Amino acid sequence: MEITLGQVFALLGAALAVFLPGIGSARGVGMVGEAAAGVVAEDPSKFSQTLILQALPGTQGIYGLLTGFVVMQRIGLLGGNLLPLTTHQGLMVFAACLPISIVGLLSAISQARAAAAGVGIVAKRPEEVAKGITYAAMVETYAVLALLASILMLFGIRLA
Amino acid sequence: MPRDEEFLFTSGRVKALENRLLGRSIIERILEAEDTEAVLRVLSETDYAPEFEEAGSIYDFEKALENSMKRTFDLIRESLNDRRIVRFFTLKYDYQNLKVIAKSRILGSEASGSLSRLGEVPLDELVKLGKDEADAAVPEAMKTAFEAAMRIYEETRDPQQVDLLLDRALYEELVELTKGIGHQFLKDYLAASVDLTNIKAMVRLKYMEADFRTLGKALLPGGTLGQDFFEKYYQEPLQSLVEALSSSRYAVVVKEGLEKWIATGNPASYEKLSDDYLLGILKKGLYKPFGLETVVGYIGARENEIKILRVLLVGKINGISEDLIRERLRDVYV
Repeated sequence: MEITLGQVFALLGAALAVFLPGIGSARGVGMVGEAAAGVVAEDPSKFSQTLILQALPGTQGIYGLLTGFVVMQRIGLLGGNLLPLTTHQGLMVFAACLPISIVGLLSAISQARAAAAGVGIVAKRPEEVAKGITYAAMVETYAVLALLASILMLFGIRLA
Repeated sequence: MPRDEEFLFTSGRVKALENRLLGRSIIERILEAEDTEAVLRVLSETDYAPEFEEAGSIYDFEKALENSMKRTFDLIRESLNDRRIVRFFTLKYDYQNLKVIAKSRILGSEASGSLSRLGEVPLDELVKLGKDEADAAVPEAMKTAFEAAMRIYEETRDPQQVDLLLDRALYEELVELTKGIGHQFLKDYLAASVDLTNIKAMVRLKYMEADFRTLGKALLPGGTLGQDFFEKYYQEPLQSLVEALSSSRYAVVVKEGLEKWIATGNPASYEKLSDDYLLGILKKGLYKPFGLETVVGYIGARENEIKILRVLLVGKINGISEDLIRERLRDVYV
């Protein structure tokens, strides 16, 4: 079987959707973790509350992976018989991957900043942790919207 | 310029530590305490408990306060990669020690008792420098400043010249340090503190009717108001200085503080207002979740707190009335 340029583009899109939000989430979770470690160094009882905040920027990486899987499934990579995609089809798959790739990367870092600020709330008023979580979770909206756009596009493209 | 992300861990720590800063209610309780016994009881509920317990007597409060501040410096130093941030605060204690060393050399006495342990240059090395030993391990800039100070004393026989020269050397080094760190917040803070000190120096010299040359020597480098500004207003009545600064950012300090100083001849109000102004700059750190501001704000807040406690304790030990102490109290950070 000959490899087409379209297949290369589609795979590139899948790769992008996995690694960009992955980088964002890794950075984000790392940032919140640092701030949380600072608080826990002084007050170990705050561990569980800060852990919730730390986990929040991790979702973008999962969304990216999900998108990557959908691409792999749609182009037949998972089943073992890759569809012979045209260049145009490949580029369409690639385009569909862009929303979650870019928004995932940037929103994870923005969310981390909000969550790190939430760690400050936990340090001062641990009973108000829910408010800190809410502030950080608001950022999630835009990652979810990007995921939705990417998935809708991927299922809408006719590949067969 | 260091990025906010570099301060994440330390900021988290600082946010937890901010809880232990003394609030207004604690200050009030100390103020209202009947005797030193009661003061100690209030302090035993605070973060100062171990230091005062170790000191044993309230009369050793200087040592307790110093130990408490040292603990903060050590804590920030160990959690921050960039040691220059703490250095920004500890440098003045080294120069203060240098002044003590210089003075004891002039008087031919022993200095080691009155040296601050908050500086970063080992005290033994400073004493060595005072004895003119060549192998004293003191930073080059401080060595040069010390030698210049000794030279100027040989020439003028005026110990005040030594203080002026060492103050200048300290601020020159601070300016270099903030340039190296490259953060605007620290630069602004330093500039405001220099400006307010320079205004104070100028007014004081004017009252002393000192000559023009002394003014030039007394002004510190690194402020936003230049030498020519002070030289211009040195020749005019003080009221015109107040007017010139009434539209600047120091308006609050100048209007109330300087006016009172001119009216009563007492700089206490000006000093209090300028300390409160500087604390106001630092307070930015309280509202920033993480970054250099948070860390610097906390260190400044701790220094301010120690200052407040010193006023309180000196007042309480000497049985000064509540109102008189209250007048001298600075604002608190939290």
